[in-house]
Amino acid sequence: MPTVLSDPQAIEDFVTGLALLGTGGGGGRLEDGIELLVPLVKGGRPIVLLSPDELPGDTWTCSLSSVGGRDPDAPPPAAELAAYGLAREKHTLVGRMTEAARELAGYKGVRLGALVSVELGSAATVGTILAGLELGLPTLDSDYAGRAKPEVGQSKAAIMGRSRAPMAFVDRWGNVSFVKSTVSEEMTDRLGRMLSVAAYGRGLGAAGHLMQIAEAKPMLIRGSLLTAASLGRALREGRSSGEGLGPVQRATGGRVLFEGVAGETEWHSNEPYMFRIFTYHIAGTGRFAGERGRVWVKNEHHIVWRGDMAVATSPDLIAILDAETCKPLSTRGDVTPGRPVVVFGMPALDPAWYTPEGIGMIGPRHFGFAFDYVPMDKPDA
Amino acid sequence: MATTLSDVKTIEDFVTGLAFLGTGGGGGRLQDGIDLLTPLVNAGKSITLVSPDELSPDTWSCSVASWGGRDPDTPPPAAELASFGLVKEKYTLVERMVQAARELAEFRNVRLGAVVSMELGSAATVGTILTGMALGLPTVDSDYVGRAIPEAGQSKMDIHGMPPTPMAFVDRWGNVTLVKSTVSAVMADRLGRMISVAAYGKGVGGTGYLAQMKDSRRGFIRGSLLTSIKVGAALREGKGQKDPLGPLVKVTGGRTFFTGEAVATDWENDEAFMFRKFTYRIKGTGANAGQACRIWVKNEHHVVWVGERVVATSPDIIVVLDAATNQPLSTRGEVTPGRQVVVFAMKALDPDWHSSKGIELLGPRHFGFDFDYVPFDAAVR
Repeated sequence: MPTVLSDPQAIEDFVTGLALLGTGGGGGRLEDGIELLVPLVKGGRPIVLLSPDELPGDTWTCSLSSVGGRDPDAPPPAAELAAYGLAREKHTLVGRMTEAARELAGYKGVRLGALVSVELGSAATVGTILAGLELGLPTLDSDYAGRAKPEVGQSKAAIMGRSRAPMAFVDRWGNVSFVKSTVSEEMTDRLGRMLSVAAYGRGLGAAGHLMQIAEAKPMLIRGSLLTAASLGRALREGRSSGEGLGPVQRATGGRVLFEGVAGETEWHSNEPYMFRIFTYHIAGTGRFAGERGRVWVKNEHHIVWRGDMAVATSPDLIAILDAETCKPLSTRGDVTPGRPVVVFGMPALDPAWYTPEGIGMIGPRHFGFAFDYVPMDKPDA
Repeated sequence: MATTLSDVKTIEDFVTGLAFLGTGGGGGRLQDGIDLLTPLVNAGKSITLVSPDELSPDTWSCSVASWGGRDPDTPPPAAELASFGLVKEKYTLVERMVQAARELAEFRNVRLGAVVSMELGSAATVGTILTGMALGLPTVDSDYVGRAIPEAGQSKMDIHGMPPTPMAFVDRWGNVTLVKSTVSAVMADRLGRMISVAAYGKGVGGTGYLAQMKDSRRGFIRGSLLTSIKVGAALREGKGQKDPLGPLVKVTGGRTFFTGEAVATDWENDEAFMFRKFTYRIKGTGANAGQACRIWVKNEHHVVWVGERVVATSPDIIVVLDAATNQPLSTRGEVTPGRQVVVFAMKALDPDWHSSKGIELLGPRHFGFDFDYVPFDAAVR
């Protein structure tokens, strides 16, 4: 049975859950997704999510996402842009995703029957749904990661050996490129980033994972969009009942890793348009009073330290919530100095992430750290 | 009539002429082209160049070139390369060009009947010929520029409004990227450069200007490869003579602008893998004793100053020759301090370059200088 989200409350829950599972990234802030979807629903346009089982096995699908990183504070000089003919933006972010799907299908000569969000995240997943509405295609209640992730190649599909290429990339100016085949998923990502640099950032629409649904099914994190909706509801109920994170803790099996007041954000990489890489410093409060917390970010949260001890790492899901409103905070400037925050950890949605391939793909060593994945369910020290 | 080059002397003349018309660039040093072609000719293989008139109007061809810029003095750390799966180089430079031609033909589902050298240059044109041989295709005795150029989009095809896209790029590792359409030819160039950055440089095979003979003819500098042989022969004949450049002047209509000793190379930027941008400083000897000359380079030579006066600019062809051997010197480290050189220039081979569109594409203002093209005949002697 298709799932229909038709009231603003359901949409807010859904997008809140996406932001939670987006672990800080996923293409945008919580509000971005809400602002895009709520007007549609209020205008009488329901959002329909289909189970993969509702579509014939030979239905063609592609995954969608946006690719980008840290945009510089000041835009490049207009004269520099004009030298490349970059005078007028042609596509909105959703427009770029829509075009990327069209281009990929056109390149391979197939007719798409459904879209898949490559990851969970406020802007990424909502963008996929809106691209689907634009193209008249349903979005699946599934994604390829069960979270947001910084690099294009990190997914359950990649764990199972399926490359995301060929990929189509469309930038805001309307330039269209295809990454046809690469030696690794990391190289696919690197090429995509460079295409983003060429376009002076602000997000590229990216389409990949062109597959028939029968091939895609085992690689999907099934039901992940409805999971997001129910986790968003749990956050809302906890807030209104005064129970705080109790309901979401029960629903996810997760727990609080740290509580405190956000301090400075220490940037590690200033490479424009590439990744947002930095560390949050958090001064403990409550039962963590006197302790220091740190969270390492590459677009998303990947490692949490209490003092000098790593207490959680990807592939587990690490969220930072506003301590008062339980709102999931993004890595796009939401964690401002002085803000009381809660660092919350949850197990990954799919066991594939705990295979050696999965941990190798997104665990701390992948990001250059000299230590192993720290299991979440290890008791507190 | 097809022209066949089958002896070493002709090959040397040919490649020397290509290096001359390559105005310092064109993908490599003079020796690179000779090293590639001579063994073939010695082994009894002959090089065949066909006139565009010998091919039927519906024959498909594409341009072939190599892309790159300044490679850093030290290669990137092996661990960094390995993190992208870049462990073993898969293709030689010529093989990258071959694969790029194959990929472009496959992308558009056409059967190539000939290859065209994008520009004139030792490595670029010889690479095209070798690409043709690998694919069993003839090389047309024409190119799209009549010299070498630093950017895609600076060709007679562009003067006539035919874009370089779609383009195929293949790097040394085997990664394949297709640039389908862009808002400008310069943007296609920018994307190509970024693909080179992604691959850590050393040259990317790039193909474009996929067209049928009836269309590509409009963009041809006809007979330019045979012209190269004449130029090379003139340089050889003059070598050691009383007037070493006499034969060259006769063949090209060009003249010497400066004679002197190379002093220094002032690099402009360190952007790796993009362009080689710098200025040569030369101090006058003989007739130019007491004078100073500068040449501004973006992969190729584009502006010559004597004192503070601009005496020659692109689109005209500016060459730096070894004063003793008549050897055309590339911008790849050959103009070493102390070397005795002659700065020679001639009019661009095709009158289209002196149209307003041609000057806009390749004149000094295109490169950011605030002065106009200096007409060759008007230049002060």
